[in-house]
Amino acid sequence: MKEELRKALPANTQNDIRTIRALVKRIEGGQTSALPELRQAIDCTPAIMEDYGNLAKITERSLIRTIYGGDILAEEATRKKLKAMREGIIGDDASPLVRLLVERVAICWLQVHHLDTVYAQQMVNLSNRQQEFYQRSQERAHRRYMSAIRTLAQVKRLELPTLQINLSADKQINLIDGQHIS
Amino acid sequence: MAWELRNGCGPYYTRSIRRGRQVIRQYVGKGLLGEQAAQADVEMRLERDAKQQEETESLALLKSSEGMVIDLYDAVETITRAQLLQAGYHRHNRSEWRKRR
Repeated sequence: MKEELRKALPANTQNDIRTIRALVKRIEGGQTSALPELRQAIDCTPAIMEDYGNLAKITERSLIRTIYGGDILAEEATRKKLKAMREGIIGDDASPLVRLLVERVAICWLQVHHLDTVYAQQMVNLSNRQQEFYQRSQERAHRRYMSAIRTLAQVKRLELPTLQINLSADKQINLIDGQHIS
Repeated sequence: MAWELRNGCGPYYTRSIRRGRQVIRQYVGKGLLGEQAAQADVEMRLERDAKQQEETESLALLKSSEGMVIDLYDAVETITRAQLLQAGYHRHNRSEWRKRR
């Protein structure tokens, strides 16, 4: 399944993300001289974001199929729930980055939901090995879900458009997100 | 599980059973009784193997679906960090993102 998804992602996107990952690691490690290189590499992120947005949709379809295995009604209900969840979070003028982060939150939620459902359905029949595996997977999935929400909230907060209009030398109006604050 | 000859007689059907650290050889019998026990053991083993196979497959499916979520998760994380870094934000010791002064 994972291989299938890898094939869905263009090879150059996979290379670009590897390059960006290495640059981010260098900059976060203190090598700020790599910033111009990152700016150059990041020029291709709209295409990368689109590819990963598509990948998120494929992953979603695949996960839903794995959870419900052809139960069309349940599959459709989950799709609707995800759609409502996205619409509730995204808002009207979300940037491509926020959209991608919302996709990530949705996928992480779906995985948590998947593990909870499967665990609840099969709990009685699970061997010790399976129980342990499920519990660890649930913990990891839950951590990822929480972290995805946290990052989304941070980015949304940082992305608030701030507009400053200087009327004259001694008069100034500051607007944040369309609201007059001073 | 095996058919054994004992003192030139048999064959007798026997099975090995583990009790703690010890392995005990259990005598079942010969003739029809032995054959029935052997058949029951084969069926039990097949059933156990099928269950184990099913278990391995379901865990592999879970691992695979977790793998694809992790791939996506990591890529989005990289893109987000890259965008924030190039927009002039930084993070000290994995704390909140702040605008560089």
